[in-house]
Amino acid sequence: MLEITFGANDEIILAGRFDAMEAEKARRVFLTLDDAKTVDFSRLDYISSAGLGVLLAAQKRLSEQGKGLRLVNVNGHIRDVFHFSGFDQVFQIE
Amino acid sequence: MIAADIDRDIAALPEVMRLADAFFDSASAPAARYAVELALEEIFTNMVKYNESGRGAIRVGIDRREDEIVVTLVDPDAPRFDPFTEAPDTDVSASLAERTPGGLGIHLVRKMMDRIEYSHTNRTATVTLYKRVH
Repeated sequence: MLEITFGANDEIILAGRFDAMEAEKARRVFLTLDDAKTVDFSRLDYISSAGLGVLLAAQKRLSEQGKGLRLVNVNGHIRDVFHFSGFDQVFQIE
Repeated sequence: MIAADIDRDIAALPEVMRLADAFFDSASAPAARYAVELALEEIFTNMVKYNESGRGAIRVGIDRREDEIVVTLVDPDAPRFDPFTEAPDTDVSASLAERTPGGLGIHLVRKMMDRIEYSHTNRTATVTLYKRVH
């Protein structure tokens, strides 16, 4: 399961598993974004290529307006996945 | 050895993950868990996505052999296509504008597992993935 909520500072908070089952649900949220956004990964346990695809599509769309996603509190395993994908070069990860 | 026949449907992915849960509940190999789960998901969803009209369930197995975890996925009705050698690798250094999600799953499996084998006999495609346990 993937839970998507908005935090006190309007950041997106992801919790659970961002996999092929949940990618469609997330796509509906991420592809409506029209402003720079912080995404809090502290409660996200897992992401696969399906989840990365959703984030990539959102990042591409935002970058056309000079904006982007900022990913925070990314755990070690997920950080590795971003690194292996080269996504650490196309996202701001803190 | 833990194994099950899983419906050829993305909606059956939680069943694949329940196999992984059952395996890791009794195997003391927590460090390998993320890679094994990712490999299971990426290969299972690939088999479903690119061979929707194939007949029969996909057989998924997880086994411990000495210092390795061995993951097998068997599609009993598939054309010959080895995604590890026949699909172009994704360019991870491309700029954001040029990046596409295609091929990313296979790329990640290659990076995160230690060894990969593909075989195809009598329409049966078998992917075997090995992850060392440290």
